[in-house]
Amino acid sequence: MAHSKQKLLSVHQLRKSFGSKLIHKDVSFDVHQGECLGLLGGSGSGKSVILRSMIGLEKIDSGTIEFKEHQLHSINEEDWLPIRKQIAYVFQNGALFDSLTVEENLLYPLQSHSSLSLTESKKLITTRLNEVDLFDTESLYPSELSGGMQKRVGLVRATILDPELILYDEPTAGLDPKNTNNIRDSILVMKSKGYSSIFVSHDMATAIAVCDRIILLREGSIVAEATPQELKIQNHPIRQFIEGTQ
Amino acid sequence: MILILRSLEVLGGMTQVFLKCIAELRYRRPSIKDILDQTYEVGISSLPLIVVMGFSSGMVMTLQFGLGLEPFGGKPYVPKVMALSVFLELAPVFTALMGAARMGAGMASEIGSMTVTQQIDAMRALGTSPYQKIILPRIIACLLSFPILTLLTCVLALTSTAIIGVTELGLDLLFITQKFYSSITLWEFLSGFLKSFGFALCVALPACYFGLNVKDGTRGVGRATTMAVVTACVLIFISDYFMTKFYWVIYPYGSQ
Ligand SMILES: Nc1ncnc2c1ncn2[C@@H]1O[C@H](COP(=O)(O)OP(=O)(O)OP(=O)(O)O)[C@@H](O)[C@H]1O
Ligand SMILES: [Mg+2]
Repeated sequence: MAHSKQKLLSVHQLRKSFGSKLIHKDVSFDVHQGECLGLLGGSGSGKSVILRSMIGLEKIDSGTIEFKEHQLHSINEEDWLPIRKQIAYVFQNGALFDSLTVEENLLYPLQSHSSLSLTESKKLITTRLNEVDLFDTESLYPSELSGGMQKRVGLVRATILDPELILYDEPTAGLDPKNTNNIRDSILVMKSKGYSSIFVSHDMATAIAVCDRIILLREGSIVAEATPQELKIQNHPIRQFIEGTQ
Repeated sequence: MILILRSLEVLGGMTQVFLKCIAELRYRRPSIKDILDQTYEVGISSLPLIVVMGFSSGMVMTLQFGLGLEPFGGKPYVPKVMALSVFLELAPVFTALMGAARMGAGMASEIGSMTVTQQIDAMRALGTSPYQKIILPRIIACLLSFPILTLLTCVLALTSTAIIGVTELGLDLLFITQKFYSSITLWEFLSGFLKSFGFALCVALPACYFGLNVKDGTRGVGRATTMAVVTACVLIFISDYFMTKFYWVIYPYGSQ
């Protein structure tokens, strides 16, 4: 169903190396409007590098990344700023500003980009925090939160400006089942609001629950693609890879 | 050989940081609040160190000059010698070295920690510029506080000279102040004052460069901090010579 919709992001023959170490040979995939694309791959396969290239934190060697009408592979730092408002990157560890409280962390993007007043911003922050099951945490510092709570604040901070595409970098890694469910529900809420996303993970169960389509990254290219329904079959190659039986 | 290459790399990197700051100013200004916060942070926090340094270096130098020149009947020259050496060299250089130790190290480790915990990346990912929020306020804070701290060091050092001059060397207070007054012209004053702006950059740019380029986690932060302080000190000594030379060329002594 997602395939019939318009392309939002298109990655074509992306190639990336660090020094002499080749990370990506030839990575190509598309993300459609409203779709959640799952990107699975082993540790160190370069999943974070792909996401970082999409918001210009990493420069690619060759290939193209198109987002709407923008050619992301060839724009300079200054032109990135407005585009980054439309693409949210949810960092693997939250990457919260540790000298600011939770509320100040969330005010940061709002004050930089939106025209909301301080009271309106604070109201929005409370609403968004409650949505991800965080209550009365506004005045706490990141060091006073658990890892799972930090990830959820990071999720709220990345998405508070209503981006069009959300990049989740292993949002459930290292979390207990309760926190995992929390994150999964938050992602489903975002999805129901119509945001498109890329979900990077090793977590097969959550991927099946939130994604419309799942691709497997291996040895520098995309080697398989499947729908969640197909993955429910016990011996699907992607499933075997993630479970380590291949 | 490798040392030369590495030095060139560092110099190039610092130039890049500097140019990016200039470019940034074309698009955006850092907020006054951030600048004042940082000025308070770097300026006020290093006050105790500056007070101790200014006072004790003035005292010990006065004593050395006084006792050393006494056999030749040179004691009356002590105020002039002190005034000149403090304004021309001691105050700007000592203040800058203290600044490297106190502010340079602090800035490098703070920016370095933000780099390894991806806070700098997070700023960029949120469509904001770390140069506007983090780098520029710190550099401007150094540019604001170094000259002020340098003047403070001058005042403290010469105050201690007056105290030691009267108590240990038996000079007249009025004589000492008159000598100070007649020795320091606009030329001497500007010589040290203008240098302190250059020294501020010598401290701030390495701190920002090494902080932004931290690799391998916490260990990298420690190394970046050390490198920032060492580089700052080296730059202070080398640039001191060139700034002095330059000052003499554009504004020769006696042409006033
Ligand atoms: N800045 C860098 N310099 C050099 N090598 C890097 C850099 N960033 C990443 N790499 C290398 O690129 C490879 C892929 O890293 P990446 O972080 O994308 O993996 P990942 O798939 O996200 O793994 P994980 O599941 O553990 O997060 C790794 O081998 C890593 O060593
Ligand atoms: Mg990763």
